Amino acid sequence: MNGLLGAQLRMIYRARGDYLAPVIFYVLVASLFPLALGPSPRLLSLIAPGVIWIDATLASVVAFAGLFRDDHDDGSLEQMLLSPRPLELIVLVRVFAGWVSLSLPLVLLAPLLALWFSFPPPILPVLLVSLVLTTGCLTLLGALGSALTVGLRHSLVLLPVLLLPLATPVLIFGAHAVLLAERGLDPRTPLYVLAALFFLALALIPKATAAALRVALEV
Amino acid sequence: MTWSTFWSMGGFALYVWPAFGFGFLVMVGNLVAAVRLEKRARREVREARETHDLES
Amino acid sequence: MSGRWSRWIHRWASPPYFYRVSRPWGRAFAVVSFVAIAIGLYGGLWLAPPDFQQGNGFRIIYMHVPSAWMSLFIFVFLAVCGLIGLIWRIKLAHAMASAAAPIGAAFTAITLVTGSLWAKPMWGTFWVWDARLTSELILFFLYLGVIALSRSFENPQTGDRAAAILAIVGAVDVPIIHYSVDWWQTLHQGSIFRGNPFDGHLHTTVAPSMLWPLLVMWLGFMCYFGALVLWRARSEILLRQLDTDWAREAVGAP
Repeated sequence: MNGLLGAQLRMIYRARGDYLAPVIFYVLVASLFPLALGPSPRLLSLIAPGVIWIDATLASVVAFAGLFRDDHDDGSLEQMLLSPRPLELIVLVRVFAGWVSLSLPLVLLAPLLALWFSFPPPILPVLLVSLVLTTGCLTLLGALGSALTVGLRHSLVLLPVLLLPLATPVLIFGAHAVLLAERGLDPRTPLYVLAALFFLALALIPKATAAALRVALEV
Repeated sequence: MTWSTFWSMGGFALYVWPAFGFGFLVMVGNLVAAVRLEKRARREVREARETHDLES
Repeated sequence: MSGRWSRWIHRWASPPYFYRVSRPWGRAFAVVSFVAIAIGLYGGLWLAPPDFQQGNGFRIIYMHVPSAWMSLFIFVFLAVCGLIGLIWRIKLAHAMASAAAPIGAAFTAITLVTGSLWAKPMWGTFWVWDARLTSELILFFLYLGVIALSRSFENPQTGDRAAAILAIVGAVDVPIIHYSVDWWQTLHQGSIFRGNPFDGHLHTTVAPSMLWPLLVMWLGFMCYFGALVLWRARSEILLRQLDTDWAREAVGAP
């Protein structure tokens, strides 16, 4: 288990250039909103939760499209299927490594975005907690989407079409936790629901992802 | 109810009739699509047979 | 799984048996559907009294609500077919699912358009982000995703099974989407519009003369779906069994 995770993380570290692009995408898209809508701090802090959530969702979809692609192309996916370890466990490790390499940077950059969008600093903890839960759900969904489209060459547009409708509850509860906190209301209800959704996804999606990988390899 | 009140739908004709019209149009469209699907399936079975004959 | 169930599934799952037996069943569904829709329209458009608040505008309900029910029912149907297809590796279940998906998408489209046509006289605009319309819109995208995924593989069997997984995950997500959109709606209520005229009609307190045409229309739509899905599934199963003797026999090819 440790060896598996370590190997994954080392592999990700070696290919770190690939993982920078989604982060740049995330920051770049966020910077487009002030350019398109004007720099008024009042307006920006009003739309900030929506902007950050849509941005994080799109960046995740872009980032996770290739989660299993390289494994598929170089044949290591077959090895995963043949390995004595349960495929669900391998998927889970892959998802965790993917979260650390692709989603954690998005979470850590959130204070920067909060600064850009004139967020009141006291709600930063709510922002971080809801972003961690949201990106957790999105990573799991992204893994499923990546596994479903792994054999396809032209999955770039298909993947968002599959994933974005499934991700709407996460978007709603994540963004509204921050929205409520911004208005001085209690954000705990959406955070609890978000946590429940995360654990539900954690319980169900690795199984679906493993099934999708078996389908992709036609076994 | 009389025929004229039926057709005017108490002023809502502009919304009620297009709603039913669109609904049944789509439902008929489904039937047309089913006819085309059946034709395609039958043609492909026949063509599969022909290539089969050519190979043997 | 009891033996009786399993035997029933396997008998129906045999493509030649299905191809033969589904035709009379489809015809029966079609007849019931035609009669029920005709009676439902007569009851809904002619016999039912105008609503005391919405006048005759409420009659859109007889198209809108049965379509909405069908759109949800067919998504569950997709997921159940997907499960059967994945667990027992039954091709017929996948053929049924790919026959049903476009019909479900069509009912979702009908729900959205009739909902818009209802919104205009009630709220003064063709679109409001009402909870029901919004979840129906997301359901429409889910249908499009399932259809797009099933058609994007070279090997149709891979497409069938991938779409089945997506449909199952989607079916788990649909109630969550519904709940999340409801919650989102209550947070923003008043800022967009007040009240929801759709609501009163879904309770059992509605007058029987208004309710029975709705149920009859729904029966008609269910039977329409039954007839159409059997018809389409017959073609879909042929497309999955091109090289078999029974398929050649079924189309009358030499």
